[in-house]
Amino acid sequence: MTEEKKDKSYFYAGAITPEMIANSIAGHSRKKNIGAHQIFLGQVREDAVNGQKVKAIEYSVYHELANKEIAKIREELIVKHQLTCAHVLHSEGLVSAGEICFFVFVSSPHRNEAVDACAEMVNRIKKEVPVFGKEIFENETYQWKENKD
Amino acid sequence: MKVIVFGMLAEQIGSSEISVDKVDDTKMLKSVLIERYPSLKSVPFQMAVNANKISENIRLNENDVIALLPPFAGG
Repeated sequence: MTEEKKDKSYFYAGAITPEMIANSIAGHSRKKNIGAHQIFLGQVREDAVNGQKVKAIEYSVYHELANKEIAKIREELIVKHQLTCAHVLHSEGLVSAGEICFFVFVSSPHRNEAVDACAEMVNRIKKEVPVFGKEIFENETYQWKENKD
Repeated sequence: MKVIVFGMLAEQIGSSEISVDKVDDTKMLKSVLIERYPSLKSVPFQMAVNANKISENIRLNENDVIALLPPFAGG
């Protein structure tokens, strides 16, 4: 079913673990009309800025609007691409370099829809959802992150 | 009226929530805020009213909650 409960939160405190992702995959085996899954994982990259490496990103969120925007994007893409299922999870709080901060998982009977929908979902979320990030460097200085692409 | 502030803007203003006297619309609110906090001029930001993004000037009511949103960094 594609319905999610009201007041659904798409945010998780801390890094998303490989175990959570594996459990999500396992949970879909009971949906027998699925033929394809497309999964995107965003990982905190150890960017170098002025000789300092990013140690972690601290994410903050405007929850009411962010959840509303993700729900809207999700619903639009489920309809547009005829998806069986779509899940989104984004970290909030501190996520270290090398850890997963963003998880998008879409499923459909055939692969083209899942591939297209996942890419569109990732791009739209990055562009439209009020999530803010502070890149914290090894020496504890920081800068505010801005999505470019 | 309540103004909630996020990210780099909250840091610049020194608070994540501020109170302003009622103004007629979002355009006026923006001028009032920039006058009070001149550093706002140098950071691009979007506004949302009652958790709805706005792209043009809209009228405001006393109980509206306005959010100031600096550039996004999600994903």
